[in-house]
Amino acid sequence: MQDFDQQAGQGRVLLFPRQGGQKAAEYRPVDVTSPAITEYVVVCDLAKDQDAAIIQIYHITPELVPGVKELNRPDRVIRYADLVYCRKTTKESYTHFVASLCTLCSDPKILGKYTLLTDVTGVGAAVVEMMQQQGLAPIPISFSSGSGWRPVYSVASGFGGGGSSRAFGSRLAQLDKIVVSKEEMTSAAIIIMQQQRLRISRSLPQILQDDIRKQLLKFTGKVNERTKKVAYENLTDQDHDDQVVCILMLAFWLVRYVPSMGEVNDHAVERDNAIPWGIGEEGVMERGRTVKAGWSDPHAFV
Amino acid sequence: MATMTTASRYDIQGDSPEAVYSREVIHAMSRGRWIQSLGFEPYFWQWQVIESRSKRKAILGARQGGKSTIVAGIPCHTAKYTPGSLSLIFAPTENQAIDDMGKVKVFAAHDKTFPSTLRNSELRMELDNGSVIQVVVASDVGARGKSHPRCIVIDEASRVEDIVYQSAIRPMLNSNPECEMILISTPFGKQGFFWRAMEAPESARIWTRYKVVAPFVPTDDGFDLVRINRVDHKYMTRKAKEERLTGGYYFSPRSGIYEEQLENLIEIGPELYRQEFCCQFVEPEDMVFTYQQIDQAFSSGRKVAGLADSAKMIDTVAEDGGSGIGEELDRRLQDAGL
Repeated sequence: MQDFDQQAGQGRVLLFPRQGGQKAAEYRPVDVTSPAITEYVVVCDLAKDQDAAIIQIYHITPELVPGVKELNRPDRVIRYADLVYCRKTTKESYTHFVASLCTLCSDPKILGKYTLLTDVTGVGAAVVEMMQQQGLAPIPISFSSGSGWRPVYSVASGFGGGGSSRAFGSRLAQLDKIVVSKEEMTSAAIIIMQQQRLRISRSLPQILQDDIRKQLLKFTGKVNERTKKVAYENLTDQDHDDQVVCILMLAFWLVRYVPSMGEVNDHAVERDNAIPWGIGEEGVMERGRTVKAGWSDPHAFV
Repeated sequence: MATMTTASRYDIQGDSPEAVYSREVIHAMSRGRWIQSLGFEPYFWQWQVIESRSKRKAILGARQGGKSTIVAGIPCHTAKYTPGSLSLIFAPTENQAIDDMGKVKVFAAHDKTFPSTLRNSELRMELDNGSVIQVVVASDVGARGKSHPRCIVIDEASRVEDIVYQSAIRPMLNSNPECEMILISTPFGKQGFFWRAMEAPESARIWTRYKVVAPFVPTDDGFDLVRINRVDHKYMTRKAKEERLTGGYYFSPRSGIYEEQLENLIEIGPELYRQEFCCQFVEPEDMVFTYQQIDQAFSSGRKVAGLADSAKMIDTVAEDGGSGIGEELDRRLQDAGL
């Protein structure tokens, strides 16, 4: 079992797993107050220029997929992302947008069971602060060029210790934002689409379904002949990619960020009696199986 | 455009008034004969389109297949023989719109009895019989505000935004049963109203569909072309039936030279050749998600009763009124009880 340095941040607590001989600065923080994969993921894209403001709510639905005995492969739990709600507005003030977001997130069905991802590229910290003032804990995602991604933490002294001390409770670490390249997010989205884990609910209004479909169709990766790099963008300037951006953020969260934080391998095992939410839902119960076997198997999750 | 003969077949000089009158009646009744009288010889497929009485036509045509004759000829004929009518030609870009008006002017210039123009600009032609021919850039704002047109042609329809068609062009057909609408384009992926008009099963009842393709298909390896017999009527009938082409399946007369087509294939590649000359709705090469993946995302989605209650609590109309697609989506949301 790993040894942990506990850190408290604004609105969340981070654990820094300590390994023998490792310097504190090299610790990778693990967020334990907000489970890395929650039952719901709320993704919002703030309006910039002519774009629309989007709020998408995904229900993360784990379903048990039987393994292949002949190949000695165990049963696996696959987490599907069901888009259950979508809202799109233009020329909406940030105040009104945050108020709407707050109302949505305070719904009893999702209250306390969601992660809020928000695109802050080109918007600044002001909107994030507005959300925090309303009691929301957004995880800001900022798009960058190039490749890869990195979390940006702000570290300050707290709990009576210096910023770089390894003593218990000596640092305040807060996830400021995650800086991600569009290439990274797109590759995550391609994976999630290839695995058929994104499911758009048929309950959504048809016009929104059409909008999402159109944007997915018109999302292209163009090769720059000079640099030979691929630029991911909408087909023409008239096409918007706000819905796709939300899907990209969700995909990055599910495929890249959460696995890297050790949610599956450490968290799940630590909580020995944990049964993932979603058990008892139609898709799982119909097969008459329990998810527990899969849950304790660190390699059983996708 | 169709081939032009050296002299106008129906030269009006020296004819008696009765002969002129009877000829005009024939031309008013037959657009094909009128176009012939201007010195152009329509291709077979063009005859089928321009003589068709269907009010809704969707034409999927190969490059250089003769689409311009339709785009310019039909509005010109409508303007001349239906006094006081409005004919609209929509094009995705301004350059395309200006080109289309140029083709209209060529037709008008060849007709010696064409009504004289009161106003003649790059995008609009007003005739002394009260008719107007206007080319419009198909944008959400620019396409609005035209009422009761007699003829609508959407050039390169696959490149025109859905929202323009749905919210600006389509409402012009309200209480306008005489209006003729023609969509004409090369394919541009499986998306948009043009694709639906050509491929959706439910659209077959609304649209008379025509397909004009090159008589070649790339081989599986994409290095060569296989010729299809151009006079094989059984093949054409079978294809029309298979693809629900109520207007017919035709070969483009200008794409018949093997060497030319092979050069096209080598230059643009088999995928683009299938799109531009075989008129297939293929996936663009740079598309990130495939059609299959996108369809899967929608088809596997369940009906989820869930968050409607919370959504009701939100006033989805923006504080400052909102506009454009967002407003429409909000209205739709409200209509749906969300």
